[in-house]
Amino acid sequence: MTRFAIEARGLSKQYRGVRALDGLDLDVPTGAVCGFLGPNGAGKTTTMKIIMGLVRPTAGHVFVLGHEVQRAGPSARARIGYLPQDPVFPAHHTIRGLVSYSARFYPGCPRGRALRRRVDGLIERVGLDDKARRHVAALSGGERQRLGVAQALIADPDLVILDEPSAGLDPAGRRAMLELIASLSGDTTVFYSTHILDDVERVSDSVVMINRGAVVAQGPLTSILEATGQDYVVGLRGANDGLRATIEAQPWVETVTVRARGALEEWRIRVSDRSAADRQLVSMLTENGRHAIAEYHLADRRLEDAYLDLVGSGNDG
Amino acid sequence: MELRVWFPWRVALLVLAGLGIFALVYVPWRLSGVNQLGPLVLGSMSLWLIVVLLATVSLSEGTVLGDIERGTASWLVAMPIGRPAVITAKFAASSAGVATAVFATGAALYPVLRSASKTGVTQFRVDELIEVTASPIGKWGVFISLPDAWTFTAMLSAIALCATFLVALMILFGTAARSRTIVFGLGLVSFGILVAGWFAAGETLVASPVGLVGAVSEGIQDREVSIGAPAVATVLMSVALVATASWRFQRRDLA
Repeated sequence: MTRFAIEARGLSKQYRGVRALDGLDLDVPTGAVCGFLGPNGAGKTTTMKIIMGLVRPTAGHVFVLGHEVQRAGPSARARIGYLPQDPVFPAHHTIRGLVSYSARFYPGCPRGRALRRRVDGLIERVGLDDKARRHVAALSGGERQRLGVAQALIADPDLVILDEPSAGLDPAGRRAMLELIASLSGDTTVFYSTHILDDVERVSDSVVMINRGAVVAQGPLTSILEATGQDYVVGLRGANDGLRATIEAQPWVETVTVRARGALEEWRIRVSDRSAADRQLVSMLTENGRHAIAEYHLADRRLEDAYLDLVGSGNDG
Repeated sequence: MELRVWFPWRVALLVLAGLGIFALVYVPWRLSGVNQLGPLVLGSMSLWLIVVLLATVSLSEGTVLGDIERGTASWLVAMPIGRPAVITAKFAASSAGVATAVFATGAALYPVLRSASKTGVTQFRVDELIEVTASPIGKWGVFISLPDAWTFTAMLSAIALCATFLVALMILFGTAARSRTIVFGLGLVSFGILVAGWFAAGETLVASPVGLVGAVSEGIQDREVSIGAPAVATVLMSVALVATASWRFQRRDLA
């Protein structure tokens, strides 16, 4: 088994003068549930389509489960399940018919009664068991999304690639989708894109952030959160500008923002080195007893904070 | 899945169109009382050939691009299926559909033509002869007798092969063009070249799909139908077109 289920090096894609991907390097560890984040137009869908061999890169290479995508034949996709954004299926199939039909193309899929059991199990797992005989043309967007997940899992894949799996789902559907993704953890590598950061924090153990066609951060979720700085929230009485300048001058301090909160001043101090902060910050703030600290705690670092720091706010790719 | 696109509705549509074309010619022919088979055979078969080829162009224009635009091409190719296999399956299904329609229509028409031929040549009158020979069609078809079953089958084979060649062309156009209108336009041009090619340079192009149009024309005029060379050439050209389409499709982004 390879260490990384997906490895991309120098991936670039140009569409008629528009640079969708710009030297993207990507590693998705085997067995991880990896959230793929980025603003609209950052290149997430393009990356996934290149991984699936639907689009040819202008430059670079991508390896999936040890096979180079551009050189490997169709059999390389036998261990991959894929859900595209806004999935489309041949309209004349029923839900059960489509999932069964898809199984034909995967050599490892069971046949006969075993296949029927697997199909029924998957349809139930995605919450479509009461609509199994309904034609695909009659499905809503959310139902097609769920059908797409069932079809992506029909061959019990080693890697599942999901492009915005929660899009179009109601809250109950979204929760069911997250539970499904979480249930795949360990046996299957899951690589999924989303705009919902809460979902990534809930089920992912690694994250890749992309902006303007390049990766801006990737790695374990905890590392991403720590690497982008920690905020100390301090409530002070009687502090002055001189103190602020002293704090800001420290090499391990990134930013200091101050706002009034009643009788206190709330200081939000972003640090890059937590151990240095733990050793020095309190004594600096109190200036050896000159100021009183009414409040002092480490703010919960949310993925949203890290995302906005790395990608920016409202910056489309 | 590809067969389902053609069977049963498109095949039924083609058969109905063929029978409708025949009825359009047969009814006036019966009502006119002209007891010459020539106008019937010439008129119906000529029109039917044109309708089959045009219908093939029309029904095939979305074979590749339609799937790409809808997104079903991406769905298919994301599974462990080679892109050449997708193109080959489309060609095979479309060809099977057109061929089935041609032979089914022919099987329905031939007994009617046989019945019509029994009241044909033996009952002509001089005034009818003058009337018929004065007309453009009559000059060609006055003494036509019904082709025998083998000749008729050869004519049907020529029509089916010609349509299959057009299917291969349309699939290639679909892998290269970005617009279905362009694909359809190129198909119409190809149809025009096929038909006009026989009149313009039929002798030169006999070992080609143009020769198949010529084979049908010869059969209509109660002459010997020579299908061997054009059939082999058409099959080889169709295979080359499908191979080129597969190569082109392999390189196409399914965005």
